[in-house]
Amino acid sequence: MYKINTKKYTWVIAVIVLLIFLHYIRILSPIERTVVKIFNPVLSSFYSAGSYFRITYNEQTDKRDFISTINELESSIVNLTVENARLKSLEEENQVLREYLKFSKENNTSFVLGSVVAHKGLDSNNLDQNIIINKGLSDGVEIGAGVMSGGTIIGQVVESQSNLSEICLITNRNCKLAAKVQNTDKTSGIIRGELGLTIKMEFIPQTDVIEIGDTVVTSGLEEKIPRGLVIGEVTEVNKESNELWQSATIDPLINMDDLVIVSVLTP
Amino acid sequence: MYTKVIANILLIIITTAIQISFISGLPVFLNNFSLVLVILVFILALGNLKLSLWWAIGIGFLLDIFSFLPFGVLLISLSLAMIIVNFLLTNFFTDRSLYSFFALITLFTLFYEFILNIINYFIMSFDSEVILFIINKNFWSNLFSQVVLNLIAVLIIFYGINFISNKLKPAFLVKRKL
Repeated sequence: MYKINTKKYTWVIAVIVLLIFLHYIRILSPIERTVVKIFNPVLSSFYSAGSYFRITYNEQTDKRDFISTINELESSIVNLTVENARLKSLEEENQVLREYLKFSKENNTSFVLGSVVAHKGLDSNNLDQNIIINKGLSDGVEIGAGVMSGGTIIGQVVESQSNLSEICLITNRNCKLAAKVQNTDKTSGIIRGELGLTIKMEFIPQTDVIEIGDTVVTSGLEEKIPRGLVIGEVTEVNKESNELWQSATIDPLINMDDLVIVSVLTP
Repeated sequence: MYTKVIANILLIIITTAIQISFISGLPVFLNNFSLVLVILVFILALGNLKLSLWWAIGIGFLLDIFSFLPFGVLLISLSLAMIIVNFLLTNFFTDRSLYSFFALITLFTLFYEFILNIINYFIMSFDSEVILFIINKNFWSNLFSQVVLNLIAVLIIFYGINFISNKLKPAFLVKRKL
């Protein structure tokens, strides 16, 4: 007969039930907040150490793509220089028009900087990319706020405790944002992450013309995410004549694996 | 006695911090390694059940603080899996050989992940977009890589312990005529 001694497990069950009960009646909250405050600097350091290995590994595997990337970047520089000149003249024109129509100043958004302390969930079923940062409700972070890095929006706050927040990255299939393509048709839609690597915009009318290289930005329809924040660039357009809709694949401008410090937009 | 308690608490904190932050920052595939499960298996085999359960409760509590899953899910999963593995250790894998450790860590990983995902699925089932983890191929690929990495870690630690001490070396009884 197999040896099972249930008596010695009684204390384990009692301790677990007690801890869960004390958590939900908030008696453990001060202890938990203290633990998080003490741990956050340590976790940031550990995460940076682990990220160093990840970034080094990614750099080694990317070396073979560097030459083709350099060539593409050189041609982009030329195009961007031309585009920049055109935009500067448009900006001057815009400024004059604003003064004539007495437009109010655009709101400046404030932000809070946070360090990434963990990169994924603590179970195998966390399919998609989420990160956890060391800023929370007590720092002014709100659920639904946009999160930026390198001048582009990289995700949205989905959960927030007093000193920690969980960010859903835009490459996560559960992260949906209202977006707009900067093309002639000003195509609007909802983007969602795909496979943790890229972003897709679906249900685009067939009549809209989208080209590879078009910039996709936030449309401002989200309550806490201002419009005009760059999401990425269109890298593929799937347009079949026998389909009702077309779809576009969008690549974010920065590598989601390289995130160490992010900024959360605050009201 | 207090020194032992403080030492254990510090080691629990360090192990949890490494699991939460350092390992999650490693490249893809390596970030599936579960240091917590490997260490708990060795504490169970080399120490006793009481010590390993205190470690499981301590680590589970800290993981729950830093997790956005409902509080208690990781604590319950880790403790329950620990109890099941202890049952297997005392009734089936009693010889503490390398193969026993391989079997224990594999089963520990499987039980922990299954219990965790079952509890999480039932709690999150109010959300219509939750996919059952069994039909999710990402779950199986992550689980496979976790098991492989845990097995490699067990191999390294097992031989490391054998090099340093005799705790895991077999003892043979020799029959002598008196």
